[in-house]
Amino acid sequence: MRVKPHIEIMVGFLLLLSIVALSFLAFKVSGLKSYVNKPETYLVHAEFDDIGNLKERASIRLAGVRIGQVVKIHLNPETFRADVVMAIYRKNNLPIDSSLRILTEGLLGTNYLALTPGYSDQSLKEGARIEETHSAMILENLIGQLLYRFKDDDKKDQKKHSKIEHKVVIS
Amino acid sequence: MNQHVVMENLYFERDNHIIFSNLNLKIARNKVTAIMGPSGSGKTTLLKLIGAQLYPKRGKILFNGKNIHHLSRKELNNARCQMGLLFQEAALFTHLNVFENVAFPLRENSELLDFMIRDLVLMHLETVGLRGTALLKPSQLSSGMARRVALARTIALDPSLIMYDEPFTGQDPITMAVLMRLIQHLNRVLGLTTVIVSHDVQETLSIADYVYIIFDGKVVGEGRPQKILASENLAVQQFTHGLADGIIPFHYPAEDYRKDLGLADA
Amino acid sequence: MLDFVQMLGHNSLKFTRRLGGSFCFLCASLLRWPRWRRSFPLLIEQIYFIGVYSLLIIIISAAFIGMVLALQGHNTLEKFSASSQLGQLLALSVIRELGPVICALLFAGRAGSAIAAEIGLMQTTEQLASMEMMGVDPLWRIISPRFWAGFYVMPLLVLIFDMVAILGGYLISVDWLALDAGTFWSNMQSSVDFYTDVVNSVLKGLAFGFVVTWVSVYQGYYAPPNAEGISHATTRAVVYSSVFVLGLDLILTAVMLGGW
Ligand SMILES: Nc1ncnc2c1ncn2[C@@H]1O[C@H](COP(=O)(O)OP(=O)(O)OP(=O)(O)O)[C@@H](O)[C@H]1O
Ligand SMILES: [Mg+2]
Repeated sequence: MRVKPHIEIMVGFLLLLSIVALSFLAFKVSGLKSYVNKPETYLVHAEFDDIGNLKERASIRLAGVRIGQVVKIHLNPETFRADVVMAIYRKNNLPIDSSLRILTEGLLGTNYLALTPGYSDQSLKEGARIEETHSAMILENLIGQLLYRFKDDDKKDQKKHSKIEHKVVIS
Repeated sequence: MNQHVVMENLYFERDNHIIFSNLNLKIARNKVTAIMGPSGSGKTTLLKLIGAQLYPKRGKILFNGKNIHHLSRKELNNARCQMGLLFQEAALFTHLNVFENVAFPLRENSELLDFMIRDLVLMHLETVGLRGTALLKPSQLSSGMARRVALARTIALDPSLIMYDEPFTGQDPITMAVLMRLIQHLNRVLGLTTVIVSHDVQETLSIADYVYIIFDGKVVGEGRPQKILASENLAVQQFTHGLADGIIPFHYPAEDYRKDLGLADA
Repeated sequence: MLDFVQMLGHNSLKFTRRLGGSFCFLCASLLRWPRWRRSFPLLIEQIYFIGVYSLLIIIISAAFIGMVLALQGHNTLEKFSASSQLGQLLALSVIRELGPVICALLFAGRAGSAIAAEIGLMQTTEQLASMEMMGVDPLWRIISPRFWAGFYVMPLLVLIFDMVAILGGYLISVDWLALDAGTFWSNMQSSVDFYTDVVNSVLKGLAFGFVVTWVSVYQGYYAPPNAEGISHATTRAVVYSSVFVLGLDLILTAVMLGGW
């Protein structure tokens, strides 16, 4: 039995379209591009006290421009700090005394690493370590500090407050 | 071996409703055998039993001397290719046109090349007088034409046994005459063993070699057409002469009518 | 009370029997796959009828869903000044959930009902019986190709749905809401993982295609032989397969997220 040509054409079209869709999803939507079409990179280490929500494959930016991504995050068992391995694109030559901060995109966005270049003439090499790092801003800690401040303020205002409460209860 | 199909002590029931209690029936090779009986007596069921689409509770059906219900799938398919069953409704494939309908069994069961299939199909359509409809869809045919296309499709595989389930109902007199001639032609020229299930007493008796009348799950009368017409049996007489009153009830078995209407104690 | 218990018992027994019956039916039709040379054209034909015919409705729905999602997402994310995350929201919700599920629901409505009605009609008009009498096994000739076609086509449709929905969302975000295209894509890329998200989307598509065609084919094959029976079978094919798809989605999501 033969299949009619227009049926074959349409089925072929369906297959083609789904292959296009698959490659679109693979290379444009998901991060698979970075597995396959790897740009030349070199690895750099940095240790943080607290990385907050930083994930693998988070981007590293300099002045907002993407210059690499986080490859691996693990705990350094000796220092009990987080060891972050980053892949920096080979074309970027960075001063050796650059510093790293963990920032958040928007209020609720994902974390990324912001690199602030230093002034040294020497540049970072494969396997180098960035010494100066700033931990992530943890919202809970910030709020905790804020509350602590408020408490101090509260103590001063306590008298006033209790009076007001009294009034409320009576009325 | 003179008997094409033999049924012995067949017992079959459906939803606790006994259809055949003890049926014995023989279909002779190369002859026209007619099976008659009132509506609902199980004629269609009988044909489906022969085609092994239904399985009997007890008893056996021998096709070419082999129990058709004990064959393996492959043997059964081969046996089915040797028998043609023409359903009461034509049962044409609605998604294929007339040509493809007739070509279907050939394409599925043989390795014939396209041009051979084309010639064969056109020959068979010519036999039933419908070569001109080859490109129509089944929905564009009248029911009589559809039945003839189904006949062409059934004979396409050159079966040795062909069973017609009520081929004459809903046909105009001319078509009926043509169909009868066709059935006789197929029987005489190709030597097909023919089984006709019908209520049309006159037409059927005129072409049958042997007649069975079934009623109430049993064969109540059998013999050559003249013998059937002369039979003393009350049921046979009632059926052949089309009498309204007699021992064959018009009603499906039911509770007492008066009781059903709530008049039992009146 | 006793009546109720009796009814419960009766119905659960009936349900169990149905389940067993449909499973046997499934096995019977799947195990008929003996002649590749003949089966392959049948499969292609069914992929055409099942897949290509569903393509248009799936593309149109996907485009609209992607666009609406972008608008709604933007509206909400803007409140937290996080509209740069729109691409991520869009891609994750489409690839993980909406793509497979909506695709399956549309597929049930478009192809499932057609399968059930067609097979039901063939059964009612004794086409399957006469096919059997020609020595052709209807399970092999009619049921099995439809089943496999549904199974193969669904993942393809899901992929296409995902792509079109994301492109639709892109259109709205970048052309209408004037978000930055670079941020849109790069945020999406940093959050969507090919293996856990896209591959799971395809796996869900496979599972849903399996369920929808199983239900539809079974309902059609065992439809009572009359017009009412066919219409009921068609309705049931759509309703049951939708319910099964949603239930199965819960289980699959739990497995994929929880890593059981
Ligand atoms: N699918 C079925 N399920 C249950 N009972 C059935 C079924 N088909 C037929 N029957 C019953 O079997 C009996 C015989 O039916 P059958 O169709 O064989 O009769 P028939 O002799 O061919 O009648 P007619 O001449 O009207 O075609 C009937 O009493 C009918 O009620
Ligand atoms: Mg009948």
